[in-house]
Amino acid sequence: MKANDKVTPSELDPSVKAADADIERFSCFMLTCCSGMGPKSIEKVKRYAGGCYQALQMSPDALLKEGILSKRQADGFNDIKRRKKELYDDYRGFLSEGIRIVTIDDEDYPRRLKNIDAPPPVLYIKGRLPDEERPTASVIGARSCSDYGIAAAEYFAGELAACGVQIISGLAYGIDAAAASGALKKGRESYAVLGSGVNVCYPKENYSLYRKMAGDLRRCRDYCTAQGGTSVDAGDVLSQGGIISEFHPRAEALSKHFVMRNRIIAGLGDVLLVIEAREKSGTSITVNYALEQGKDVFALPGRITDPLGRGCNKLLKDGAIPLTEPEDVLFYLGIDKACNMTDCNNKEAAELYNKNVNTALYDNKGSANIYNNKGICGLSNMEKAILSLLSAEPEHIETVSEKCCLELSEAGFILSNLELKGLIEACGGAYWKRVNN
Amino acid sequence: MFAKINTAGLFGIGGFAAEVEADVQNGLPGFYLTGAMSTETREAQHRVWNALKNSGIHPEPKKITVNFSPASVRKEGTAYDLPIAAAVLAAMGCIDYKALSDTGFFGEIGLDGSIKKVRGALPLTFTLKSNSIRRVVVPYDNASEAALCESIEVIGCRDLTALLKYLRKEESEGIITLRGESDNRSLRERNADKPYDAGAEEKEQEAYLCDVDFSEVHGQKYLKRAAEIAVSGCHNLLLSGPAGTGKTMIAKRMPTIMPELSREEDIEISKVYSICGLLPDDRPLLSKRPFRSPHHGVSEASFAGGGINAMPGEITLASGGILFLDELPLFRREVLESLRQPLEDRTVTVTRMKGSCTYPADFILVAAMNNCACGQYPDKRKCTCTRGQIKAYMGRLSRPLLERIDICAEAVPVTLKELSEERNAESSADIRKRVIAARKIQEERFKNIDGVSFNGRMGIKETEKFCVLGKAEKEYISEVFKVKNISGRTYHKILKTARTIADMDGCEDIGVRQLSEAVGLRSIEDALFRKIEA
Repeated sequence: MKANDKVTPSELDPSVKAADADIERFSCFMLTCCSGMGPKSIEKVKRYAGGCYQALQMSPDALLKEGILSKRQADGFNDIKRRKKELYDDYRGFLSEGIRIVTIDDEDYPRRLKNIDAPPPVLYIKGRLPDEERPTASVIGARSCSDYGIAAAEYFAGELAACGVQIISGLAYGIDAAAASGALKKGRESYAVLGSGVNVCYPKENYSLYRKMAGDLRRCRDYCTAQGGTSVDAGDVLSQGGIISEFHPRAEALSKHFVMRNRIIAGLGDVLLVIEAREKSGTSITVNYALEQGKDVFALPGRITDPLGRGCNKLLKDGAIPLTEPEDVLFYLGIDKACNMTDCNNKEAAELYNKNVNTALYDNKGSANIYNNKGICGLSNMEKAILSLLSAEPEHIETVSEKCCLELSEAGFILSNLELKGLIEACGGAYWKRVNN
Repeated sequence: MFAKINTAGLFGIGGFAAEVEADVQNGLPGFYLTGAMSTETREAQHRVWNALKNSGIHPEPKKITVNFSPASVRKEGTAYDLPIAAAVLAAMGCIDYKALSDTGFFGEIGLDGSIKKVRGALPLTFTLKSNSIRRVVVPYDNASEAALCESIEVIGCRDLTALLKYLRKEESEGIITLRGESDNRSLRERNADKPYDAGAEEKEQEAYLCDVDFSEVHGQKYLKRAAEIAVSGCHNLLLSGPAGTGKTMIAKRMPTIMPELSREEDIEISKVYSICGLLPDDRPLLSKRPFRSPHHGVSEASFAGGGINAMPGEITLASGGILFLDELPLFRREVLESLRQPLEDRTVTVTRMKGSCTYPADFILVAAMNNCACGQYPDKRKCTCTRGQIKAYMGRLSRPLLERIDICAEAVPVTLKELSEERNAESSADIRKRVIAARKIQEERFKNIDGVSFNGRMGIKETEKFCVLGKAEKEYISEVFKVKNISGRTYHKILKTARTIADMDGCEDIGVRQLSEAVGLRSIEDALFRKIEA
C-alpha cells in the first residue's frame, strides 16, 4: 500500500510520457470517484489546492482541519489514494473502450456548460459532444405521455434536426425517446444526457437509440486499431450524436442522478422545449435550471382538461413561448430554414426543399400536419368522416360508431379499410388511431 | 346364513355395479368388513350396528362378515351403509333377500337409524338401471333426484324402521314410492305442501332461469356483439378493458342467451352436480346452463378435477355452459395450462393412484382481464403503472392459451351518462332467438361430421372445407396479411369467426364484411403484445 502512494501515472505506464494535462485529468477522475464529493466540493478543493493533482498531494487531515472537507469526504479521500492503481487501470480501461473523458479545464469541454451553476468537473462521452458552433435544443417531457405527445416530440425534433439544430434529451421513455428518434430518423445528431454511467443503458428498452447515438463501440475499437492509435476520435466517424454523463461510466441509474443531470440537459441546450408535462413533475426542475441559466423555454400548448397538458399550460401562463410550429424555434435561433439545411448547400436543393416544406408540412388549412395524408383523395365520404374523427389519441370503435351513427359492423368495416390504406392503425383490441409520419 | 344385496359405487361421472354379501355364522361375536374400501366406508360397521339396535332390531351375538364385490375396486363414501344394513338384515333372516334380486340400495345411515342424503344419487341410479335393476331403495331426500331415471321404481325411505315395514309390505309414513320421472312433479307438490298450480310453477321456473338479463347491460355494444358471436359459434372469448366496464356483467349473462338445455344435456349436467352435491335442494335437475366463475386463487386440483377422492373440478362443472375466468393474468400458470387439453378434447382426464377417470369439459371459455395492474391502461392519463409493470402484467398470459381463444374484444370505458341513460337494450330472449337460428345452420352443416357441432369446434380440415373464400375475399385477406402480420393459426381463427358471423347474417358464403369483423375481433396480438412505444 505504501509503495502505491508514490506511484504516479507516468511511472505506471512508462510507454506514455504523461503530459501534465493527462495527470491533471486523471486526478480529476480520481476526485470524482471519491465518495461524498460532488461537483461543488471538488471545485472547492481544487481552488484551495490550485488543481486536482495538487489537491491529491495534500493530506486529507489538513484539508479536514481547514474545513475544506467533511469527515466523510476525508475518509473517501484516503480511500481513493489507497485505490490509486485500481482507479488508474479503470481510467485507462475506459479510454481504451472509446469513452472520452473531458474535464472542465480541457479545451473541448462544452462552453455551454462552463457558466452554469455547479458545472460537472468531468464528462464521460460515448460518441461526440454537441458542436459548439451549431445551435442546440433540449427536448423534455413526461415519460408516460400520450401518443399525441410522442408524435409532437418526433415531429419537432425531426424538423429542427433537419435544419441543423442538435437535439439534446435524456433517453428516458416517452418524450425523450421520441425526440431522439425523431432526430435520428432524419439522419441527424441526437445527444442524450444520462442519469447513469455512459456504459449503462437505462432504460434498456431504448438500447437501439442508445447504440445509434453512442456508435458501435466494437467497430470503433477496430477502427482505432486500424488507424494505429487512439489519436482518431472514432466516435466522430460512426456515431450519430453522443451519450453524455457526468457519472462514473458504470454508475447505476439512481433517482438523485436524474435531478443532477437535468441541469446538464438545460445547460447544453440553447433553448428548452417542453412537450408534455404534468403539473408537478421532474420537467419543472429542468425548466427551473434553464431559467436560472437564462435560457428561453418553449412549451407545447395542451388541452385544459388533459393532466399532461397542465404543466405546459402553466409554463405558458408564466411567460413561456408557445410552441406551435418548428419555425417558432428556428426563428428564435436565427435560422433560415432553407439555408440551414446542412446537406442542401446548393441553391437548387434549398429551393426544392422549400417547395416540399410548403406542400408537405401543411395541409390546406395551414395547421401543422403531423399526420400522413397520402391517399386521402380516393376516400368515400364515410371514410373521410371517420378519418376526421380519429387523432393520435386512440379511440374505441364503439365511440366511433356512435359519433357517426353507424352500425358496429359497418364502422368496423370502414376502419379496417382505412387501416389497409395505411391511414390509421389498430392499437389494442378495439382502439384505433391515425398514423403519423 | 348368507345374503346378497345389489348396490353401486361412483367412478368418474358414471358408476360401477357392486354387491354387498353378508354372512352370519356362529363364532366369536364381531362385525367384519372385507373388500377394498376407504376409512369412511369401513366405519359403516359401527353406524350400521348401532342403527340396527336403535331401530329396535337386536342382532344375535354372532360373527357377521360383510364382503364387497368386486373386491378389487376401492369403495369410497358412505352410500354403502344402507346396502350393508339390508344385507345384514337379510342374513339374519329379518327380510327375504331373494325377493330383492332386482332391487338396488344406497344411502347413508345415522346412529339413530335415519337414512341420510348422499352425493351422486342420479348417476348411481342410472348405473343400477343399466344393470337391470328395476327398483331402488334410496334416502327419502334423494328420491326425486333418483326418479329422473326413467322406468325404474324409486322407494325413498326416511329410516330403517320404515324400510323394514315397507319390505314386510306394511304401510309406513316414512316411505315414498315414485315411478321413474313421471311422478316427479307430484312429489315436489307434496314436499311444498301447496296445491299444484302449473302456471305458478312456470313462472317460478322462469324466474329461476333468468335472474339476470342482457337488457340490464347499458352500452358496451361491441362486447355484447362479441358475446353473441361467441355463443352462436361456441367460440372462446377474451374480454379486456378497464375495470368496471361491465366485462363480468356480460359474461354472467352469456348463459341466458344460450339455447335451453335439452333433456339429455340437462341430465348429463345434473349428474356432475349430483356427484359434487351441488344440485339445488328444491329441484332435482339443474335446468339452467352452468356459469362457473372460480376465483383466481383456485388450485389445480379443484380447477381441473382431482383430489384424493377424484372429484370433478370447475371445468367439468362448467360443462354445457360458461367457464368464466375473471382477472385471467392472476391465475396460476399451472391452472391455466391445465386448460389446454380440455379446450382441445372437450374432456378432462384426471389420473390418480387408483386409475384415471374422464370427465366432460364441454364449455365456452370466457376470460376477462385488465390491461394493467391498475386497470386503466391504455388510458395513459389515468394509468399509473410503469411500462415495466404493464409488460410484466401482460407477460403472465400464456401464448398457447391465447391461441385457443378465437374472439377478443376490448371494452370501451363507460361514462356515467351512459349508465344512467334509459335505453331499451335488447333482452336475452331476443338475442337467444338469433343464437338458436345461427346454431341451426351449424347443426345442418355438421350433421355428418363426428365430434364437431359448432364453428368454434372446427379443426383445420373442417375449416378448409366450410370456410371457402371467394376471389375478392382472398384479395382482402392477403391485404390484411401484409398490414397486420398474422400467423397461420390466427388465420384459421379469423375464418372460423367469420363463418359464424356469416351464419348469423344468414349468408351462405363468407363476405369481406364478415371477414373484416372477424379480423377486428382478433387484434389481441396487437393489444397484448402491443409494442410499448419508446
